[in-house]
Amino acid sequence: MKVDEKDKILDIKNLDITFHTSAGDIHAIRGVNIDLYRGETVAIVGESGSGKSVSMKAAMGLLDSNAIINSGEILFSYIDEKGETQTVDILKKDTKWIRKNINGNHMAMVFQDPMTSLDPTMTIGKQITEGMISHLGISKKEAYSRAVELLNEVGIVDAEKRMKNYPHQLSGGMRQRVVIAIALSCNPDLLICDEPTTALDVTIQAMILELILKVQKERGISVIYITHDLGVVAKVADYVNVMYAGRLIEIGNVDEIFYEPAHPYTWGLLSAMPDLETEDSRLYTIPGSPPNLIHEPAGDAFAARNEYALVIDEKEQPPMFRISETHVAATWLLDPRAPKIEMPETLKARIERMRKEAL
Amino acid sequence: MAANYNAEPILKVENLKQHFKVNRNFTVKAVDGVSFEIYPGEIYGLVGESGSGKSTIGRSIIRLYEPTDGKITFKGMDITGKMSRETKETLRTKMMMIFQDPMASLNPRKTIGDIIGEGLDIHHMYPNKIEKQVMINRILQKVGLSADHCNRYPHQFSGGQRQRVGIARALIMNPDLVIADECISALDVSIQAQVVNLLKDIQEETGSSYLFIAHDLSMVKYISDRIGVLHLGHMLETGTTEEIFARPVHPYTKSLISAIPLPNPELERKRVAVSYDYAKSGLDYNVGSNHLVEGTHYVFGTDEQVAEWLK
Amino acid sequence: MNDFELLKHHDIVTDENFASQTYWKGVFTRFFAKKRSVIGLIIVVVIIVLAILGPVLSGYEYREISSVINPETGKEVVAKGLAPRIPFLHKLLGKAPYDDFFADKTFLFGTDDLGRDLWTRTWYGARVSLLIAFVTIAIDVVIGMCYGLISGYFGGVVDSIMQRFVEIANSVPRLVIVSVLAVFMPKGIGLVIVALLITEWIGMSKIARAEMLKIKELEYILAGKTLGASNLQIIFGDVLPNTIGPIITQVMFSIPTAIFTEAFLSFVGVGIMLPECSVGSLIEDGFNNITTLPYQIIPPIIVLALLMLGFNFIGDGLREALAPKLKDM
Repeated sequence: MKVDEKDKILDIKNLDITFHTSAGDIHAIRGVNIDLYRGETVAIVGESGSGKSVSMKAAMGLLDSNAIINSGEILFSYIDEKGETQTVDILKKDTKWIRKNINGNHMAMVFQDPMTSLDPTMTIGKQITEGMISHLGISKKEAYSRAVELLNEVGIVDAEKRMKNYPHQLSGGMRQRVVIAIALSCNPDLLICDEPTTALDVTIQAMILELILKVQKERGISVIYITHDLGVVAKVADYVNVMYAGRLIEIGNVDEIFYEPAHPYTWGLLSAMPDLETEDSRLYTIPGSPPNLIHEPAGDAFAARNEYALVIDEKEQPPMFRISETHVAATWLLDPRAPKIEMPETLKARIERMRKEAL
Repeated sequence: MAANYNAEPILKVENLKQHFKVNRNFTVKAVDGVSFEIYPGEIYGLVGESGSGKSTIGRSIIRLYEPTDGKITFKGMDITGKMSRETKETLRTKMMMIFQDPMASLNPRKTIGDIIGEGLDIHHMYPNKIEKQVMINRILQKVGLSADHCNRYPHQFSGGQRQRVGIARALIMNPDLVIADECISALDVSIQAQVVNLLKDIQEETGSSYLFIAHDLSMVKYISDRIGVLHLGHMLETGTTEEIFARPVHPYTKSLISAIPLPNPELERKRVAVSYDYAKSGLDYNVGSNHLVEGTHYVFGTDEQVAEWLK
Repeated sequence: MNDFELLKHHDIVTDENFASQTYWKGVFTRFFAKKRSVIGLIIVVVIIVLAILGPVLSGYEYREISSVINPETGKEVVAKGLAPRIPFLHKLLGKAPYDDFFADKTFLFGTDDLGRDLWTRTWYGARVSLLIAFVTIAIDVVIGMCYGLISGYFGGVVDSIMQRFVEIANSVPRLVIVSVLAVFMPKGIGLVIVALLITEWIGMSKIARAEMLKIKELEYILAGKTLGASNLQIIFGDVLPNTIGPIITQVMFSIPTAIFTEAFLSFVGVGIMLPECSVGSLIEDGFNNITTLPYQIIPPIIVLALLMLGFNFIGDGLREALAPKLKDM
């Protein structure tokens, strides 16, 4: 256990956040626990409004002013300049401190649209070196040579020439590479990627993901992906957290989630994706739309859309049932008293086929 | 309804060019000589990356843009250039579009009922108010919304619901051709499947033709009868879905298919996408012609290139 | 019933899940959540109420010269240049009562140098100023919106020509226009209104054009076109209702400008003519007597300042309420 403690880089405990809006209070995050160990990759999967982005914004200390944190802590461990491990509770620090000591420095973020994180009036070179000069306190010259190295590392040819370019002179894929280079420039311990490839074309998507995988392996950093794309998750994640209506509903390693999913929502997500083999005339769908958290549901938030819902689902929220060492799911179906219900046949057949393909 | 390939095509696009003049020295050739046809009851998938001109083609066909060159025939009528009153009426009632962004495609100041009824109003397609309401209620039910949603405003709906309203607006006109322009790409995965199912159901029921524009190959494969692969304003490969996926010929098509992310971690970890770079590929889309591969499967290139690819 | 039975499933064919808050309710809550906008609103409402009721309540006409007959001489005595006097308050403070002929009269703001009640004149002047502002802005909104929407919608050559015209119109200083107009027109309310009409619509048209350029590329406008809606339908049926927000905000900022311009024109003497009055002409009067009767200038200046402040506060509040920063969830 002690070894684990040392390696744990991010530990979100019982996070609970409400947003105060003119339409009413939105209970966006309802008790979320996320662990992340050094060098590993966690994917947070969910639909829009599930709270996946909000929880990571909280971890970055970037919450909007109308957010009220009801409870929880976000413990972040990093190695400071002296080489010692420091642990801080992000929620207890003020924005200014976080911006100075954590953001960009020990924790970096890659957003969906590269154009929003790049300054259109500044050259690429300036944007990469800026952070290094202020965070690492190195000279301009050194920062420049490191920036060129970084650009080479993220696969930009003619790095020296590109340093003088402005963002609009680059293609979408190139820009995202630059954003990754900026994120890496201060040797972060943790990289948070919020839908890093959704704005990019499919052919470039794969390359960007491969790039992030490569630098992660080389530098031993931890990565959190926020995404709704299960294809991306399958490619990059070690562990998967499935989020629905502000709660985690299934956690497991990537093989468990894809080959032995236990929660009906995860079944639905996997079945709804047409793979290239789908021959059925209809896609499987999850009916309805995600709940509006202004009106918080009494029992399981997913019950209304769940064709396997039990009576108790409407009364009480299911606890996390442990399936294996690494795999837990919040569904009453796993309760020993519940009827034995298995995943839909079509999904079963599909997983069977996927396993064969993988061999 | 299955596609009827023996009939006259409902839409015929011949050598369509759509150029946008940016300034005196610079013209963007968004679409540069694209030809294809859609048969009655067929779903034709148009795939390409951003900037490939796929959305521009949709908009040129429905005459949101003035085509620079080429000929578009819809139901046997030439809809390029100046249209007669009658042609215009046919175009505006029988060809409909479903848009990409469910947030921007509905007028925030109009009720759902007004939005769906707009087409009926413009073309005076109902005898009285009650009849109109009946038509609206029927279509609302068909797309999975209830009749009392009529008086609500778009912002009171979720993204998936709004997209259903957009679909209702197009389908209430009983169109012969529906252009679905990236109509699922802004939706969540579980909602995408709902919308695709809905479109497919309605298509089977009404037998109308669809031009399904998307960048997501897996959805296109699932829904389309035939596919056209577009890159930089040129149609590179076209054929039935089976033909394209069983035997992709053009290197671009190959890279597109190889890049589709699959929900299979074991496989994904090992797989490396085939990259394709036009600048480095040595290809010139301005030179070449369509070559028959098999059946209805055509690929664009010079004789030598195609021979090389088919080896 | 057993808790662990499958729920008899309700049909989920129709999707009943939605947020239910109307747009205007949201605007309302956001507007009233800001202290500043509420203060602005209170100021403006109070001034408008006083402008309507003030002259009625005082018992004087705005042009009426207060006078009494001196019983000893039989001559008329005019209440010229009296300081503010409130007999009731005087008594309360235990001071000696006024001992002149007007001991029983109340002049809350005093009288001007012709003997007219300044309270009445101040609120009457505020009424005139507000009326001029509302009328001209209303006309300007109509002209400016039509011009801007049409220019933006058609774009290309039409837009170029219309915008060149705006630039030319905008480059002529207002004072020059007024001076030229003053040659052809009698000074007074008419002149002020025409002067305001000629210049104020430009700002409105710019806002309308900018909104049109933004909105006309949106998909719901394209949808209207694919359904065969006519240009008029699109401009006035689809786009216009969506420009209301920014236009209202612009109106809130234009009203104080109009009031100030009117005050300025009256101050320099081409505006409102006696015995009519407006806030501006009252300030001019007060300014002329500032060395002898300094209290005269205070009420109209305060009213003017409060009006400007109030409308600007409301405008600010509306701008934020109408276009909230999207709290992304």
